[in-house]
Amino acid sequence: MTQAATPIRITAEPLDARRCKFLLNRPVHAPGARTYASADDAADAPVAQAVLAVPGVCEVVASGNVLTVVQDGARPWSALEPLVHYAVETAVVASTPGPSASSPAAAVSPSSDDAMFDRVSDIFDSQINPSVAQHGGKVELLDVQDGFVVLRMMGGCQGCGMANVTLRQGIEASLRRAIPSVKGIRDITDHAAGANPYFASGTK
Amino acid sequence: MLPRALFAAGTATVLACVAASGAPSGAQAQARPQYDTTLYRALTWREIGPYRGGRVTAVAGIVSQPYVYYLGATGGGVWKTVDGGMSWEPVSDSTVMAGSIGAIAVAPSDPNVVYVGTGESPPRGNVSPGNGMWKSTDAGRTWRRAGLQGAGQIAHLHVDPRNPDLVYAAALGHIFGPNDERGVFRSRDGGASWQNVLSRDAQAGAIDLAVDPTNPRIMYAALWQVRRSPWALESGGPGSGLFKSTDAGDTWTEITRNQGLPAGTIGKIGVTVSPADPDRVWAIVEAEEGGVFRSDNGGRTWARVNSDRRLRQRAWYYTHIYADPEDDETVYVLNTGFYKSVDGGKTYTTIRVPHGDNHALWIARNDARRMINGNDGGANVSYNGGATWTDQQNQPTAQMYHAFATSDFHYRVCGGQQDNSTICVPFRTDGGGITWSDYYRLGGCESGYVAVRPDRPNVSYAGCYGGQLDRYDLATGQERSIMVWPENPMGWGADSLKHRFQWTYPIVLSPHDPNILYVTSQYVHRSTNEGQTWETISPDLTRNDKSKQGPSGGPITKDNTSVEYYGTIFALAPSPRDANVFWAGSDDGLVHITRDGGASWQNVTPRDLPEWALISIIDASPYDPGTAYVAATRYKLDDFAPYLYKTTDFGRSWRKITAGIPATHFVRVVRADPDRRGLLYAGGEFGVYVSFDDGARWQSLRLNLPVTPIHDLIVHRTDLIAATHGRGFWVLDDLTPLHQLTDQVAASATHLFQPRDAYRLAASGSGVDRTGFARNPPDGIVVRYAFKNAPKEEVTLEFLDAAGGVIRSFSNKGREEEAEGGGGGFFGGGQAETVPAEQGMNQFAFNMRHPGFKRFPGMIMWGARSSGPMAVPGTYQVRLRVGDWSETRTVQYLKDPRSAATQADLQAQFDLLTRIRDRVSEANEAVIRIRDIKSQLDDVIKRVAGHADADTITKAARGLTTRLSDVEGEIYQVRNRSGQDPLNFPIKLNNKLGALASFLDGSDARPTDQAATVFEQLSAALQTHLDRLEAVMENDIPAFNAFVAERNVPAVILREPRARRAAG
Repeated sequence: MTQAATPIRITAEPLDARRCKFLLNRPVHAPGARTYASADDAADAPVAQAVLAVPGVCEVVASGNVLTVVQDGARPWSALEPLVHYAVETAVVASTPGPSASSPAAAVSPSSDDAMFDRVSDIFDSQINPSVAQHGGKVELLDVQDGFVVLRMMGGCQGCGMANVTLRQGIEASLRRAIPSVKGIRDITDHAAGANPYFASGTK
Repeated sequence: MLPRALFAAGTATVLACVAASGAPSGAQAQARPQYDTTLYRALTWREIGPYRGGRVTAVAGIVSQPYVYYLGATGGGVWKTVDGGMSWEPVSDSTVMAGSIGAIAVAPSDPNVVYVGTGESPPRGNVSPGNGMWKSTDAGRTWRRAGLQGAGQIAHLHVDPRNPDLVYAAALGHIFGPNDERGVFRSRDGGASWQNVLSRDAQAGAIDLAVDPTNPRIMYAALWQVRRSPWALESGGPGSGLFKSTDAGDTWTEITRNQGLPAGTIGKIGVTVSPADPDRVWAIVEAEEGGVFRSDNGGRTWARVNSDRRLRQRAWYYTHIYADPEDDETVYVLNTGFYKSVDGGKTYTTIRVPHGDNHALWIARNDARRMINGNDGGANVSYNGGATWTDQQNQPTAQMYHAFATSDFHYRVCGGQQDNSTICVPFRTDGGGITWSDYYRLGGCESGYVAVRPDRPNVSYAGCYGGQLDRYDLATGQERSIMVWPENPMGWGADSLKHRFQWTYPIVLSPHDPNILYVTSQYVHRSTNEGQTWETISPDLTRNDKSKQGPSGGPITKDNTSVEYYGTIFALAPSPRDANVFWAGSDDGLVHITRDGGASWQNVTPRDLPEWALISIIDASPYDPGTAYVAATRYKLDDFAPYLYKTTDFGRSWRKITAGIPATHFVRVVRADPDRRGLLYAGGEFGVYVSFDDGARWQSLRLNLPVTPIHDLIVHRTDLIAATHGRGFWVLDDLTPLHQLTDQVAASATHLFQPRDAYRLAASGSGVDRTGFARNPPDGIVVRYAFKNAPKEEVTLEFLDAAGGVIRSFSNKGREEEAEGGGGGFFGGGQAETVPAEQGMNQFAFNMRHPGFKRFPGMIMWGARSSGPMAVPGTYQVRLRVGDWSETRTVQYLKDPRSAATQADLQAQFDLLTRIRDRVSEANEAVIRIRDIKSQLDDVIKRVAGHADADTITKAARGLTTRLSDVEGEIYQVRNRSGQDPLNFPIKLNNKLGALASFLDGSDARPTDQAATVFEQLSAALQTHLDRLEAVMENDIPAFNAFVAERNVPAVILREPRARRAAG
């Protein structure tokens, strides 16, 4: 088997018995959520198609580096997780990622994002998290994709009514000041306890 | 290259598929069954667990189907997963006549073609023989024989990558004795005929076969000289060797002594070819200077690259090596651990697996991340090269040694599981099934007998190999060693020991006094103080042949775990009729009796029992102290005949009682039924048998039980419990029909068996059908009846109360009253509605629930109990009607003895539930009537279109409809359309009443005072609306009818609704 240049790392976050969010360390699909309920649906999305072939999987919502997988509920996620990982990895190796190679996600320069990730990470550690910690919160840096900072709010921030203000006026503004090339942020927090399992519509 | 003629034994011998040569063939001994087996056909064996795997030495996957795999259990048959190992289903139960599976191979060019070789190859003490090759051409759905019936243990299979009919089998042969049908076999016609292409002699067989995937003409084979006897295991000798063929097996060259391979005696060999570099071959060799060897020139010269004992310890059990399909530096070795080398075999890291003792590995040819591994805990699948594995709690293939049933109300079945622990599994639970949370372990370990005190079921005594014995207290978790002689014998031969305790030695509580415990070495030991002290109450009751007590193993590797400790008492049976009478049977073929509590013992061995037989089980008669039954076996001496004996005179004379058991179906256990004199059960390698005439004739009682080795049977509370060695514990629920089966019954055109008294279990269920769950037996009263011929008339079963009132009636013509409507949110149900009426025995279970409330189409409720109240404890009747014929039986429906509720409490509960049920029915009848009238009013409106008074009539009709709808909406939430709509639209009176019933049901208790109050309030509220409806009926409808009649329009007809009552 030819290994992909960058090994796929996947974090599984079960939302409930039927749905689990898989966060990948790189995009495997174009941004913008798309729902696939059958292999035919996913003819142009090989990763989603491969995941749909995993026994028990009945739906995949794919967007960038996030896959929300819906199963029939008969199996624990701990058992399904390696199979989803295997399916993703196999599909990535077998094809170019995403439904269109020219999509923004596919056009990302990994090196520039990687460099930006390091700088953003410093700012999270030195400025942002110490600040939000005073309010019982925490913000987790997940990735930088095509200049967009992907993050998730935790603790007191999750579901907080002021979360969007914190996000836009606090975090985004701080990041832009420090790193002008930051294009924006994407918040993938489940502010409503799993009701919104993929990118929030308000992100930009 | 050696000419083929050098391999004289069997070389180029073509064996027809049907040929048999001494191995278990299933030939039926001459004896007619006493009764047509259809007379007890409806009895079924029920698997109760534990849901955890046993040893697997055969695995296979499919390159093109990444989620499909097969495993072969070493007593549990072939299993298949289609979801990547998350769940497994048995696929060979119905046809493959052996539970022990040695090898599986799927044809790469046609995955529908699957070959199975029976008979596992690791010859441990509990190894079971195979009976040849089996083949499926529909991916495991059906199987047929494919030859090699005399090949004993089949270790490995290879199917040509392009031709599904070209298959090779590495056959080890008989593991317990010499035979000729062993070596490497080739079939070019899909198993129809076989050619023995490589063999050495009658002592050595083939253990491994490796084929160059780039050129399948090139193959390497390992022969192994090995023998298992009751007292020894011998691995290695001149028969072992390594061979190579370059012409697809036509000719072979021995390469055992090629440069670099070890000198001296050779034992077991594993061999593999690297697909990435087919000149690279690895072999792991059991030898004094053994280890992992590598050749980089196709086997011409070799170098030892590793000699680590971790990889080659206990060589006879492991010695497996597998090349990585993609990387020529990577190779895997299986032993207790799972080892991986990425430097050509020199150094190894450990891959963690769910269970140790690894025997089998399959790696996807196109993707080394994907593999299935078999070990002593089952099979597990990985999709990441072994970083994580699927678990083994989804394959109930446990090898249980013996069974013990506790005195608990829901009795537990306890025993030791091979390479696992002791475990107790309830025969039923108060939940929906039996699963992991219901299990617990006792002390002891994998190999032991267990005995649980009947007077204090928390306290048990459990054994383990090496003479270990524990007293375990479930309440505290304290486990105290109470060994007779606590000196660990590991690694020593039996001849050097003070006490010879077998791997599985008897641990028996006195049936007369639970304070007296017996265990056996070569002596019988007794303790009356829970193991604080022991006294020896017998002399050595074995033949004590020192030539059979030396260290086991060799000539290369010794192996002493007490499996081979010989000259021990293997069976002990105190008479339940006389506290001074004991029977003792040894593993070297002696039977002794004492009639004075151990003061003196007499050798009463049956004269015609061949020597060195293992006395497996002695069953002392429950009827008289002079009668006993002996099950003996000599299969480890390559003699597969059954040996069953009976004495009625304290052993002075014996009668062999095996007529009807197939001549090669050896048996391990015999038991007498304590409720019918002369009714016997026997279990063995290939089935369970029953005799109704004290052993004169036997017939099969396997029914739906898979073919799996039976190691023990016990009769407990009129159930028959089997300890299988590959499928865990099974229970044949309810032996009472067998107690009643007589010539008269058999001759009857129709017969209703007396049902067994049943317990009223408020919280029980029997409906779970999920991986990891075993089913409970049916709730309520289970009725069996038999027809000589399938009746043409209607067959009905009526269940009546003591006064003769019918509770429910069921027919073979369909449901009593069809329930409909529905949606989510109903509790109860699950009652079968159609009475089976086939030739032979039929079974129907009634859950003893009265009819439920009336329902209407489209009804949706939340949390309402639709089934009726459960009958209170008491005397009931069952009546079977066939046309004009009928028969009635009385049956007791007993209170749960654990319940504190009184009969009056249960009656009060029943009465209130009945009132609620009736009130819901009234509410629903009102809805039905309202809907009927509204429908007619709609019709009236349609019909009067164009009539001179249309507007007036329509207005009046709509006014009526509105008033009716208002009442309907107070009784029932009319907006419900789906099961969870009640969360959006508040439930109304009929639902609140129905839900009140569900609060009250499900326990044995008097209704709370407030429940009665709520009922009265809801009932009163309902009455208000029923009164409103009645007012409409009595006043408004007649007025409307009079109004339209004056205008010559048909009236609204008030009629009784066609209500339906729910299933009970």
